[in-house]
Amino acid sequence: MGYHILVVDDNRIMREMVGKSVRLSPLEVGEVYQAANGAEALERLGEHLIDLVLLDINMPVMNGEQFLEKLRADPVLKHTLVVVVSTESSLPRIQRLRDLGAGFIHKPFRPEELVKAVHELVAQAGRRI
Amino acid sequence: MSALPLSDAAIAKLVEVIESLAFLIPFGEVPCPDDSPWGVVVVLPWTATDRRSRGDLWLALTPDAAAEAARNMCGLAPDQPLAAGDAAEATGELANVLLGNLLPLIHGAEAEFHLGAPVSGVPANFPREGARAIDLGGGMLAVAIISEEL
Repeated sequence: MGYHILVVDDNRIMREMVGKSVRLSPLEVGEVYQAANGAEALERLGEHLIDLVLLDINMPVMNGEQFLEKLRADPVLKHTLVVVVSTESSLPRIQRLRDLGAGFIHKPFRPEELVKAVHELVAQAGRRI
Repeated sequence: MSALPLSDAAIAKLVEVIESLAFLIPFGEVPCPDDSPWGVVVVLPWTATDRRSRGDLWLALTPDAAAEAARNMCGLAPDQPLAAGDAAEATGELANVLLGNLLPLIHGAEAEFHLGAPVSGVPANFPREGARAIDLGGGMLAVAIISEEL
């Protein structure tokens, strides 16, 4: 058993790259699912047990910030771990994402940065890997 | 809209992005060509959330460079074929990551922007004014930003 992960990004190649990074990382990884925007991500979360969401911000239909607000308002899904993986550089927006309980890493990223962000998030949430 | 001059810091960021995201090897800056050797051109629009400015980033790659970027980003071996649209998808993501890294250099870290979806651009329309090009050893990449205050 490992983390079941949902990669949310509107770019297909980036979803593949992020998925490959987590599979090559020291994290124990179970299933890796994909979604192209926040609305699709909510659908996946309704279909599968997902432990960790790796989330882009700039996406059509429903962006990452809107998705995160909906997730935190959902009584069942609100504790899902989320790491934002984005080009976003605006400090006020990054702070809003952190206030919603998300970790953050900046694209382009190295796989070890992703692992570090997940470990920090797990420690904050008082969970074990 | 008018061309936005790209600083050396912006070019350093461009080099960092293409090395770390697409695993391309830059061989230094070259003059932007007069003709249009581009195989893939994407245009990525942005708008400041305070609606005071907007603009477009143009990113152009020669056919070989676009294919190599896509192959590297997809983790394909040299003999594995690219799927249709891979080069455009890869260039679009490069443009997205590049713009996200350039906007704070231009407007500061407090500014917020909405980035649109990348669209295909017409190679002949690539805006050469203010553009800067990088030699990729057999291929080439060029970037230009045009913007306006609203």
